[in-house]
Amino acid sequence: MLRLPTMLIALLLVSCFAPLAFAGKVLKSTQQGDPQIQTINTLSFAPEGVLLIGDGRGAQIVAVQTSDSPAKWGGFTTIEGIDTKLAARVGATTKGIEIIDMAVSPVTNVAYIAARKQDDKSQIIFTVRPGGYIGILDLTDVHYASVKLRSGDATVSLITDVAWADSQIVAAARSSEAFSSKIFSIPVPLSKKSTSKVFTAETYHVSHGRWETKAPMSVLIPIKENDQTYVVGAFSCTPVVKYRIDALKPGATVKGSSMIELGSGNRPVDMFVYEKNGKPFVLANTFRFHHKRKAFGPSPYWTVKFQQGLLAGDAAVNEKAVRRLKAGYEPATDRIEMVPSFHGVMQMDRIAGTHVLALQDTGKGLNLVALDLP
Amino acid sequence: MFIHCLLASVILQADPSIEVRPGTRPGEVEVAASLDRHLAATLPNGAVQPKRGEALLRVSLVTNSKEPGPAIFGSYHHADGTLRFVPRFRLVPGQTYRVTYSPPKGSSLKQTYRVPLRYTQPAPRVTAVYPTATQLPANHLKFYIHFSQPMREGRDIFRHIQLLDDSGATVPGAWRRTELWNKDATRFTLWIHPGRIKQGVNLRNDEGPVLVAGRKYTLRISTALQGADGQPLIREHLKRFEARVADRRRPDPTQWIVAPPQHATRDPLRVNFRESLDRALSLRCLRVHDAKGKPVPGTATLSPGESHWNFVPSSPWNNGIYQLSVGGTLEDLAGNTPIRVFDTDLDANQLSPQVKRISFRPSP
Repeated sequence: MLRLPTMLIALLLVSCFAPLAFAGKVLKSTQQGDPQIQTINTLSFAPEGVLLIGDGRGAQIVAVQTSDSPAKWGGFTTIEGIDTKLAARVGATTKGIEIIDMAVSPVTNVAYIAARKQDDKSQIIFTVRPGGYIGILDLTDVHYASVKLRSGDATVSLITDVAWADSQIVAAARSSEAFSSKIFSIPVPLSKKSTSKVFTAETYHVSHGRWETKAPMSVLIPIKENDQTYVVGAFSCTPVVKYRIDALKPGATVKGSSMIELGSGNRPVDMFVYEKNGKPFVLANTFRFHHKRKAFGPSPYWTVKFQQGLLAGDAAVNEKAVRRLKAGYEPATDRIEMVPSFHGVMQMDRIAGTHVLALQDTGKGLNLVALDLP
Repeated sequence: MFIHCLLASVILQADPSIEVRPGTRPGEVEVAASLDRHLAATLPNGAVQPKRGEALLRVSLVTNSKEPGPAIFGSYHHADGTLRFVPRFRLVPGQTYRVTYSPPKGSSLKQTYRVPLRYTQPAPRVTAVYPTATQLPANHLKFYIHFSQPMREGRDIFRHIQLLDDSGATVPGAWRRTELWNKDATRFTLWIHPGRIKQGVNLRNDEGPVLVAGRKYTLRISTALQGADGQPLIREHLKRFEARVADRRRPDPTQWIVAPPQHATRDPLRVNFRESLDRALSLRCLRVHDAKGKPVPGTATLSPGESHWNFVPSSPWNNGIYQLSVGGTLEDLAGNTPIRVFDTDLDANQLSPQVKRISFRPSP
């Protein structure tokens, strides 16, 4: 029988080297250390304060357990010139960093802002608390689980979005070589042994008037309809498409239903579902690469709100998808509206259930501001 | 005796000072402040909380306003009267920083430090643009731009690469504005916007195609692009080409000309595609297998124009049957694959995939 000191040492050694166990919905077990993220393409939050990071060059999704303590909502102090302030904290000028994405923790209302320091390509995640304090997430020492995204011949170079979809994590990715777009699904809770399943998305591109598999997805969100899980994806030029993914086998082709066409010349950036006055809506901001040719507002970044009900059912789909505009750019329906107060919003996420935290280009600078949900 | 002790205590209590010590890599520094005895006594040896450390010693970027900004992130450590600060990220070459030591009692000390701007390698240049062919289909899909070293990434890149038509005017809205780099940012994939290539698409209907058959174009890569170290491209790079008729046929491996090598040699297997194919995908999607289906190790290269593929095995060819396998994601310059044409309606065209394996036997 082992003596007590030896037992204690053995116990200590086992606890040091065994993966940390979490009994959560998202993470079953984690490692502690540096997840070796090569590039941050996208951020989002899963429940329980788990930050999802899409690392395109590393072809992986990294789920990091954040450890901020829960906080009540008391408003968010507007920070003018947020890009300059973030850059200064890492010793760079405003142009010395490029902001990549933003996500808000639903547990703490802390904003997580991903950026790249341009001179040495450091990947940084800033944290901004509602009171305005700026910190960073130390990515060299986190509790995390990571899952590789593998897709046969096609290599993953860029992860365009990642989202929590109740019983799984879904991600959209593309290659820098082949013109292809894949959806990945990762069952949860995550552990060291987690793997991903890959699907090819078959999409009816409304403005093209034809089916095609290859259109890359820019942004995706999960929705539930009649107890089925769907992923809603938005593409350039700009169909919004619904895919049912909970019944598929790996390697399958997912046939989507195009529900809405927001008009050509736009690339969607962020999208989420919210409730206002008891009704569900979807808010989506886009970058209009045709801004000079035909502007929709003072900025190439503009935002649209539409009723979530437009995504329901299968009657008005594909050729019959609802179009935002008629020929001549006149609105075709009042169920899809542009939101003028959101002009210039480059990145956004829900905060506290009642507001949107936005990185908004005012024309005079970039501000971090809480806007009312429209 | 008393005077000696008094003198010794005066000598031992040296004035506070600050020092910036550069590290081995550009921008790496350690900042050290020697504390007065009384202050040192209040700080235990070891890590110091950032809030306390910043109150005593901070490093800030100096901008055009001449006023230092907020303290930069970093770690603090105290040992025997010296407070050390190591920035979390390297300081930026060419920038100026202010070091400020603010003891609770006594005067502040300030020092300015400018990080030397020294480049350790020559300015970057474009080493190649693929496809190298000077005639491209009017529905050409993408370019691969290769650089001599890792480049600075950012959304601005699309402003610095233009497509000029034969009158010298910029073709507006030519690119799909998604940054796609390889792992070390030495290769940039530049896509012509697919919405202006696909027929019947509203973007193409509104804007017209990017390339028109029979016209000449220049791809201009400007010196505004920078290497990762901030050096601008050493010179502008121009690629001139002519657009020919659009290509809406799938690459057909059954039409390729395969020249088997001689057995018992390491002569190359030569494959003539009879058209230019996508360089990156040709090198990725073609594999040679032996009679047992095992991959044959070797090196594949492409000829100028990317129309001929050569494979040199690591070991001599034997006398058996080999197979050249063709991946379904192989593309020609217009994005057509052996499985489908890029510009396709999956409901209307039910095409069977082109042959994906070609057998050959080395000659005696």
